[in-house]
Amino acid sequence: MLDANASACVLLGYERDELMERGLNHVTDPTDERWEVALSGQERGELDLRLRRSDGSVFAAWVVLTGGAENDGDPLGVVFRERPLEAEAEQREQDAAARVCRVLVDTVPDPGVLYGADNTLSHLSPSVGQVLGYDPEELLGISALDLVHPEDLASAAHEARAAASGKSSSPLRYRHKDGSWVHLEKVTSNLLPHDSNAEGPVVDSRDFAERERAEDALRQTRDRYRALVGDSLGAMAMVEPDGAVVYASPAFEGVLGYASEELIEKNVLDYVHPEEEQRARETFVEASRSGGPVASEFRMRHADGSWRHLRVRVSNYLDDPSVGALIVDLNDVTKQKKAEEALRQSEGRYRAVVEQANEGIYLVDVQTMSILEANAALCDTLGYTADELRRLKPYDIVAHEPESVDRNVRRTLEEKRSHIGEQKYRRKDGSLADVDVYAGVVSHADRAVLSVVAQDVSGRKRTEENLRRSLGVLLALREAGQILGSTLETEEIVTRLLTIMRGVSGLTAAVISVEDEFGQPKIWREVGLEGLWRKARYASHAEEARRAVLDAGEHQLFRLQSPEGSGQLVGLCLPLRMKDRIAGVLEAYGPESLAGDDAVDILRSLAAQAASALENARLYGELAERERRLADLIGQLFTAQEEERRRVAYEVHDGLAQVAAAAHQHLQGFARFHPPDSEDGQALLSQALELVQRTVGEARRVIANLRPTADDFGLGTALRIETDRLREEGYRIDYESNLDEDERLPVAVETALFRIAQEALTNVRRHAGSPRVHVTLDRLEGRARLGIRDWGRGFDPAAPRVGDGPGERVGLNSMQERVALLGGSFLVKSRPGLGALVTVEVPLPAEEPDKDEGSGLLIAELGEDS
Amino acid sequence: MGFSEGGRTGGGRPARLVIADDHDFVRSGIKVMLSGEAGLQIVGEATDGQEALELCGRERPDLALMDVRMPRMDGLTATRSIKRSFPEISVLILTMHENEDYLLEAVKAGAAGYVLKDAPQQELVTAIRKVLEGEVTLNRRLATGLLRRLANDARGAAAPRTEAGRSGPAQPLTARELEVLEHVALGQTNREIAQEFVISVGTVKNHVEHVIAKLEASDRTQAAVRALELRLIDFPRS
Repeated sequence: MLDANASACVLLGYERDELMERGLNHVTDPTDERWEVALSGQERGELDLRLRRSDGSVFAAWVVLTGGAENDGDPLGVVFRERPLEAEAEQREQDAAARVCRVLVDTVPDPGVLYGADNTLSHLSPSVGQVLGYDPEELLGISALDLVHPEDLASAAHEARAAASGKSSSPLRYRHKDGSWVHLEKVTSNLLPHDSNAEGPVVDSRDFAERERAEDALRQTRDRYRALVGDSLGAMAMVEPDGAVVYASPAFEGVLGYASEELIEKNVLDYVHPEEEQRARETFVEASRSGGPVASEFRMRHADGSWRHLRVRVSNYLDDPSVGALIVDLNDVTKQKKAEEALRQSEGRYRAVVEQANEGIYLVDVQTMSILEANAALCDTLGYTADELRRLKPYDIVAHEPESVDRNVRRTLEEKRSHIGEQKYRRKDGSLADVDVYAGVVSHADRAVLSVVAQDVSGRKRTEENLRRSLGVLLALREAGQILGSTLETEEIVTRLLTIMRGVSGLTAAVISVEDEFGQPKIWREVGLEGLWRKARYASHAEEARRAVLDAGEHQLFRLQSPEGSGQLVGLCLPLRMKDRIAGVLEAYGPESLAGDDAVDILRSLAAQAASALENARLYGELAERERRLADLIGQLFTAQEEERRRVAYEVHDGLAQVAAAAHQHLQGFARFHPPDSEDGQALLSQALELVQRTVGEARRVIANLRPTADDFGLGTALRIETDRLREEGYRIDYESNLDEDERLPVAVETALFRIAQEALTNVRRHAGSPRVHVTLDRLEGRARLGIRDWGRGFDPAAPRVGDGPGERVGLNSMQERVALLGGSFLVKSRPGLGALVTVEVPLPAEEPDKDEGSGLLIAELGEDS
Repeated sequence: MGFSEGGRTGGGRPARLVIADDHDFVRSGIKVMLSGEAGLQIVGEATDGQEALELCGRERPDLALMDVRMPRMDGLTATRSIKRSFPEISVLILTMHENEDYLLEAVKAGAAGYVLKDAPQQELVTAIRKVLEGEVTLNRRLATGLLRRLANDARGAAAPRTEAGRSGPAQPLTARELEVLEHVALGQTNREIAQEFVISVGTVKNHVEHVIAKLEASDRTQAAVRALELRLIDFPRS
């Protein structure tokens, strides 16, 4: 005998050591010839053979022989099962059942009893004694009914007969040893497989007062029952303390892939993962030592080679002779383990993501509305620590009505995920943060939990605002550049500049001051000053700032307090730099935002643009002025030349030409009446004639194109001639005068007025496009008045005459000069679209003495008396 | 044909002239030019318009040679005065150059025409003769231009620039006279008009003289001017 397991020992009635000393033939029934056949190996499979116990008794058994090949060395395995003889078999079955039942009863904490066939108590669990006060031995053999209260006997008897299984009955009173009555509920279970006379119902009596515990225990009982009879959901095995498998339930195959037969005689420990083998071994050891079950977990190898996580519970039934082993309950928790691991990992990942997120994330328990978790980003945004946040509710950090918070929560619960939108959250310090909020439902353990993502967008909003403002500023600067570059009208430049500045910087007022001749800044243009209090600009700060800007050329920032104390105004002074001097000061008044760096920069750039535009305008103005003056001078030059030429022509006309003509005539006369005798004389005379003729011819040229002037005919006539000429040209022109036809005015007056009239009429011709012209010359009280009225386009006398040629400008100016020289007045009235009226008045001296040559003719008669 | 034939002088006496100019050498030059002309006699000299007027009053010449620019009273003023007081006296303007404006004014003032101060002797003499004989004294172009302007003035002017007192001719002109006058206004010579109407030159001359007399003009030019001013004839729009 090489080896024998405990069951073998028990069944055969030997100690293991004793059995080892014996041989196989000691345990086989010598009278059973079938052994020879079996041992010879001719028959295999389950054989009906008899075995001999140590006491000599013989019993039948189903035997399977394994191994033992004809070749030596291969040990023979004998696996046997008791096959009791008919009556014995039944008895043994009953006994076995009874044993099992006893085990059950004993293990159940509630009092349990086994009935024998005659309804006498065959076995009592120890707890019966506790409940009823008897020792179990005292009650053996008596009828249970003896213990029942007389009044309950009827129902007890009835129930005993009915032997309902699994049903709890009405409580019966049982007599305690000390005489008191104990209420107990009965649960009758028929644990035997079939009906027979020898049935022995088991009655579980329970203390009515411990009903819960009893139900739980029932469950456990059933579990155990299943564990023992092989109907377990998990796998069950009976093993020796060293791990050798005695029996494995069929469910094993489902868990580890091995058929239960394969495992018998194998060691459980062989299937355990090497890393956990020691632990498993210790588990068995501990279980064998302790009374209660020991739980553990270890991995075991599946038949397919993979490792399965198993939860293991080992119960100690070693001392139970019918079991004599450890009961191992196994549950495959591989999937669970994997799930747990995955969950752990994903949780780890999730946690990492949440922690590292830029957005603030927090979890809210919907039921308690408390913050469960908050990540670092949220803490940063709000200024709380995570612990502080966990003590708060969402209402504490959301700066909106609680009702809206609840509404959003409800919505999120319904829709599972929602974008709440931009909200304001309150920081620890009370300030508000702009956040963009998303919420979703997550489950956390088994509570409804909201995961809220609150992204701090204050920065973004600020950036957006800055961007918008910058864009606005940029556009304004561009517009400013365009405007400033498009006009050279100083007025326009300044006004537009100031308007742009106001728009860009939200200014209240802007002022441009220029240094006057005393070096004091004086307001030149302003915008919005009415929005400041009256003396704002004269506050000492403002004055100092202006001074400082003019002196140092650096911008100055200052603050003014309004007199009612209603607010503070920021003032900014910037220099207007033109070329290399500071020509003026740009003052800006506005809100606090003006003090920002970007506001100063923008205004500085605008000021520089404006300064350069102003400088351009000034230069252009200067240039234009110079050009005008130049044109004036040129015009005057022309006129002077013209006049000189005319003067010369007139002089020649008056003097030289006539003299030459007369000389010619005299010479001709001489030639006629006193021809020279000699040829020489004649030749000389001819030559003289020729020369004089030439002189006449030249003089003619000089005086060609002379037109009659007032000198020739008198002012009235001359005017008439002029107007007649215009009429010839198609103008509707008329001339009226209260002067007589031959009436003359002083020469200077006539000349001046005539020239003026000529210029005015030339203007009419050139510009007015007038359908009608009216010329008047009147002699009034002590003065002469010349009027020229046209109904042409007219002009604005105050405005610079753009597009005028030099002649016109000269004309107007020279007219005025002439009149001024005479002590007269020159008036031009015109309105665009209404024509023009030139009125010249010149004082006339009281008398009109002839000033020309030969003034005063004295006729005196020289008589003998004088 | 001498001055004594036809015209105003009628009957052989030389025509009597006065010269008005403020420059003595001009006067002497003209005198020189005219000396030796049998039919012309210078009966007086004036140095300004006023003197000229008085001289004409005293001497009643046939023709006055009148400078324009003179002190005290200019030539045009004097011409007007002379024509007012002594309409039978013809006036010839002395000018240094031909200028439409001048000449228009002169004609309006009553001058028969003009003559350049530096004109050759023959021209001077011819001009004087023509005036005295009632012939055209202005060159064609100038005459036409002038008369056109006159007509425009007559049409357009607010008030006809007639001499004070003058209203219409004392005697109305006959149709034939008006016709002839129209042609005179066109600047045609007597000969041309004679050919036009197929009448003799003498007949034309007679008509012209009648017209001159009726209009109390001193010469044909003035007659035309007068007729235009009085709207007796309209300037032919040829």
